[in-house]
Amino acid sequence: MKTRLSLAWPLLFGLIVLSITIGYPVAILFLQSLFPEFMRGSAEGFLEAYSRIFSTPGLGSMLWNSLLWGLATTSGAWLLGVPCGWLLARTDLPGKKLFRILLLVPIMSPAYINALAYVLAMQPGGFMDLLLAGWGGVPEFLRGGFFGFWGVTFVMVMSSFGGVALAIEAALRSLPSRLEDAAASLGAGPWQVLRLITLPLLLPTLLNAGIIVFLDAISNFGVPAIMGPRSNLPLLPAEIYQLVSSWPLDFPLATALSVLLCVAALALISLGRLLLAGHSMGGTRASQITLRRIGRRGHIAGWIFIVVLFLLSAFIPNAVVVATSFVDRWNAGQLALTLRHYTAITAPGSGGFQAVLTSMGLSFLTATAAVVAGAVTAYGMARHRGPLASAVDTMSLMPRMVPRIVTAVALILAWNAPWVFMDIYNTVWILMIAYFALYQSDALRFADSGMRAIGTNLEQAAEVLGAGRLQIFARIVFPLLGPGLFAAWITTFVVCMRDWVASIILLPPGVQTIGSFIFNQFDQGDISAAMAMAACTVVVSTAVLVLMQSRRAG
Amino acid sequence: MRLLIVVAAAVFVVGCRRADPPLVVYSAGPRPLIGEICDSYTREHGRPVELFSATTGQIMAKLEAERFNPRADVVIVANQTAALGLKAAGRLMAYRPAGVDSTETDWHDGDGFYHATAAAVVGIAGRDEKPPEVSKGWRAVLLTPGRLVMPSPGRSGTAGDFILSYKQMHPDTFWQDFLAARALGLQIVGANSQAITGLLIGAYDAVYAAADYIICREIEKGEPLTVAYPPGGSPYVLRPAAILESTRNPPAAQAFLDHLFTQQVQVRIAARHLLPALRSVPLSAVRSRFPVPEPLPFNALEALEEQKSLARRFQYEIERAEITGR
Repeated sequence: MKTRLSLAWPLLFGLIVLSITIGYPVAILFLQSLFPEFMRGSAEGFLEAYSRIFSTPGLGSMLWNSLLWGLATTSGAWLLGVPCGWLLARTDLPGKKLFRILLLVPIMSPAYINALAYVLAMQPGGFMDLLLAGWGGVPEFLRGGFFGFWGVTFVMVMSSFGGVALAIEAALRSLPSRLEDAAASLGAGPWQVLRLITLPLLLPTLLNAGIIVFLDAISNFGVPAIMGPRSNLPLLPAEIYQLVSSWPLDFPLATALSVLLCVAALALISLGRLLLAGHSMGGTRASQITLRRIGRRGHIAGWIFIVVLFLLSAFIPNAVVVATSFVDRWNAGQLALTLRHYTAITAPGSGGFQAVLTSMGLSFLTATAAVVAGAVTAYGMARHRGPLASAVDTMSLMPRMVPRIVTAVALILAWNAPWVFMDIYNTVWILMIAYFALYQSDALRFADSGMRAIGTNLEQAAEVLGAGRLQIFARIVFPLLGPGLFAAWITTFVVCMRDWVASIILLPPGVQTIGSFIFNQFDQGDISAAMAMAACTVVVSTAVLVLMQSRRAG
Repeated sequence: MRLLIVVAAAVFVVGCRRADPPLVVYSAGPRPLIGEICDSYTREHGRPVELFSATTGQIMAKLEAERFNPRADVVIVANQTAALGLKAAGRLMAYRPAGVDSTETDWHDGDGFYHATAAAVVGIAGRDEKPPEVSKGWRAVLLTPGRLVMPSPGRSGTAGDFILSYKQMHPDTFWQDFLAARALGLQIVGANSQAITGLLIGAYDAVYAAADYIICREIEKGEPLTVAYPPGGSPYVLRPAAILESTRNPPAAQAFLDHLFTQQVQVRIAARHLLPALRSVPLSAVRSRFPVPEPLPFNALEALEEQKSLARRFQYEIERAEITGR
């Protein structure tokens, strides 16, 4: 029954939406990097920006630093994330449900907040010195190490290992353990099993999670921007941010560097795909997993491992955030405390309150739009496999590969071009477009995996009874996708709420979002006010995630 | 579902169209101050104001990105060089606001393209119990070992202006002075507030090139801070206001500039510890505890030419200098 399926409007819809929101800005960015004056209709300065990459001092070492930093962060995240995932998936460690939530907290607090918190904790006279006053404060070698390459890496690892852990856990749960059991019963030792069976089976997940961490690290400008200058560690994204946001600015050079970063990311991803080409995950159903008994000593070691990680990745930074948010006056160590930063955020009409409302409204609309568009597109992709579908798929994934700051710059160029007839750029809607472009891929992914589980018989029945395509989608497919879409909605809502890249770079006049509020307060105003807002955001997003987690489990 | 789409579309259309076009103002902080000024303008002239408040750098970036599709009517920056840059690029409209005769006339542009509404003075901030020793001048403070911090010129307009001034004061020793200072322990951290928080916490003993009005704000909150000005003068960081040449509503923009130089707005400016342009307005109580130093001579045109290369080289050679042995 393929009578009317030639009418591919759901797929075309996805193609059009993604081309406008993603394909168009990325194309503009590429053109602008080649022809700096092309918006004026001139081909002057062809390749001039690229040639300046070579003549600008320091860019080579910056690129090298960025790659090195990405690799160090990825290795760190693997090193900590894999044991965590294994403990949660394959052992009889008690308290797993709690630990899963503990791991979600650092994923929820944006990396730049952790960086700010650690700077406040570790700088001379900071919180750590106050706490350790009796023991002479933070030892100098530790402080010296912290404000350097390893400190920046540490902070980034702390915010990314949780994602690796959850991915590994999910993979291990869906890998049947019978291969491992068989090997063990044939006399293989635990190391042999790990090396010859578990690791090869886990390789796709390991690589995919690693690529995400790596891309996140090399495109993250918050952490290096906050810790970098002090650490004498110049990194590429921070440089791009500097070039597009502080005067005197240099757009052509920034776009050329962005394209460079992009190409590096794309190369890495294709390398990953190439490596994975021959691998498959084996079974997909969660079945027959024998939990390994690790004994009392194993339990204690596991608990200590996870609790220490939680302390470092979530408890300390969040404690610093909360403590700072109460500070009225610092008095060189004798703090005076206040609640006024919280009352300032919650007072209706205040700047902070407006920012929260704006962010919530935008996140609500974006999450809804992303889920609807994702569902329609996934429906189209599932029913019309082919080159068009894979083009849509790649386009949707692009914002994940391209550093976010680059996408944001591309969006300025694209939506403020002379031929854009609607004044969207200077309204709050540009933020919604940006959020959509940056964060829609989750919704499409969730919907796509949902579509794979839905057979076509209901649709065919409806079609026989005379239902139109739209009706079939709205009354059959959409409801069937429901639970997956709910999870996608929540995820998109949370990532939009804590966005700060798009918010800062594209902020229209008269608008503040949570992200821009925190950044501006931290930069020019009151650090305590910024921290009060950060604390509220972390509490709200953690609450939403815990809610989701408990729904899924229950 | 369908209802949702209709509502979203309706909200979208309403968001994009407005009956009475508001005046669009891009302004450097302090945000509460510029917010008050815009509110009082709306009250008196009945026209809403759309405000984009950010750092001078972000404002300039936005103006640059919007070159082909400009939108702002009025711009206020916290940096004379930036205003001069806009003038040189032909983006400003000359206008002489009412009442500028009784202001500090040498703060303004000779051709009338921009007029400074206020000024901050660059000083050296310290804590009460250990006031900074400045009697030997700017250079001596820089070259004295100690726990000295300075905001990064890329992130703080005040520090950005300061290094341009210092370059004009000591053109020959500029690079070696700052390198020597870094070797003696000078730290260069993010924006103003990061440097000042370091001072408040006790991580540093003095902030070099601090904007005095921010320090006065902390003093007003009760922090035990003080500001000192080395003898021989201090750089003034002017806050010029100007009308953009591309404004779609010149009368409203001109009324806004007039409004900036009224007694009531100047009083609000003084209340934020800035030096008001209007001579008849007294300084704030906190600000008048400290002297008003002479302005250092400053050649803005020369600074404009040098700015780009100086800022970049400063970043590479001074901020990111590998200081060994630390």
